[in-house]
Amino acid sequence: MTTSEYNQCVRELADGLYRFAWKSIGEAEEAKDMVQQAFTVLWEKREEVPPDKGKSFLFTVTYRKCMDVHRARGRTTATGQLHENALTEMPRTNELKKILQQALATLDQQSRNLVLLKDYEGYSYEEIAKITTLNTTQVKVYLHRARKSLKNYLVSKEHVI
Amino acid sequence: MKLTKDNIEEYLLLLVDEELDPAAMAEVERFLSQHGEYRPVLEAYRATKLDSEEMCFFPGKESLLRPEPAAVPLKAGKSFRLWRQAAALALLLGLGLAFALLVRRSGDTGLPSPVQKVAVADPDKDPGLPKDTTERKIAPQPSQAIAQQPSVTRQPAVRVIPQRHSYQIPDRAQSRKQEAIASLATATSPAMLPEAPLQVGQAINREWASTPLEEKKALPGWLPVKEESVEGVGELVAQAQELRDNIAEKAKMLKKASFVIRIGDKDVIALGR
Repeated sequence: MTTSEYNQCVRELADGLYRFAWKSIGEAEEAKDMVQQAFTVLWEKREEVPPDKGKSFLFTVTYRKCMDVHRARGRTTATGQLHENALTEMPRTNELKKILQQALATLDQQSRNLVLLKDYEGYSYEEIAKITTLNTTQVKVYLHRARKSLKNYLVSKEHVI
Repeated sequence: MKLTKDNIEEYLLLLVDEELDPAAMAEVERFLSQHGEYRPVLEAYRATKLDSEEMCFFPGKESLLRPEPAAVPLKAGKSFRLWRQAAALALLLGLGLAFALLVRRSGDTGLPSPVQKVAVADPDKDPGLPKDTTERKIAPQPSQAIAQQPSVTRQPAVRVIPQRHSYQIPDRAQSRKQEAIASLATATSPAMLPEAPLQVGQAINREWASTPLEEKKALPGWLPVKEESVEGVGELVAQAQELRDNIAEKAKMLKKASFVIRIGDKDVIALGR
């Protein structure tokens, strides 16, 4: 990957990567640091990374950093609180988005990351499997489980859509 | 693929995640059309999809960019400068040499440039002539002048004969012994001009040959041909042919021009048509 191709990655992927990190860990500043670190790693490894693999490389690095942050915080961290903060900073277009963000906050870190990768970036099960080092079946199972959880949250008595 | 009430939910999730091929999608749609009670389930799953259009803009994106190596002009190092100077010197020497060769060749042939003076009758000596004909920047066309003035033999004083009045024998040629060149005239007759139009050449020949030598010498613009010494008939003929060819070539360049060369008491007409 040349410098020009690296800069092209910055222009095209920085926003999406930042969105993924922010939604995943719920902290804007931490997400920003994470994106910077991911691009730093890409720059250092640019000789080994083909241009067409830049996006998956960046999301793999960011996903792992998100998981590291999650582990450092401990699984008992109130993700709902994290995403509540995020929701106060994110633009709210309608009530459904707000409820969906709340539902997303109830998911475990891994399931949330899978949903983010699937819905925001449009990755296939196979691509998500490569990024997360899971197998395709695991991705499918985790994602379906996450969808059912989100659906149940949305159609519950308190959040009837 | 067989859809049942037990596995339809899995296929609905695959449909939401866009993991079904078109055939499977059509199958699911067909099942939903037959079992309408599952359509709200599909809509509920679709509601779990995050809005991919929702944007977050990374602040300070520019800080992530790395300076790209611009197209840096070749830095002129010491060795490069030396090579450049050497190339310039070689180019100048080459141009100088080519110019010198051209000048020397021009000196050898003694051909006038296309812009030249045309030898004309002196108006002071002949009051009948207009005074604005002393110099023209045109190619001389003696054949036309002769053709348009049929009485030129009767009035030689007004005849305009374009001649190379600035012809100079090259220095190296002048060093040769002086020798009569009468025999040269025989060897360089007008018949040696294969490209000369025969009729025009013969007409000019007849007209010009009938003019006495003394009258020719009295013509304005008449320049005597300098004599030069050559050794042997072969060299003499070769030199005459070279002279003829050079003048004919020059006459061609001047278009429709012709020259009269006097060698001894013979005249050779070089036509440039």
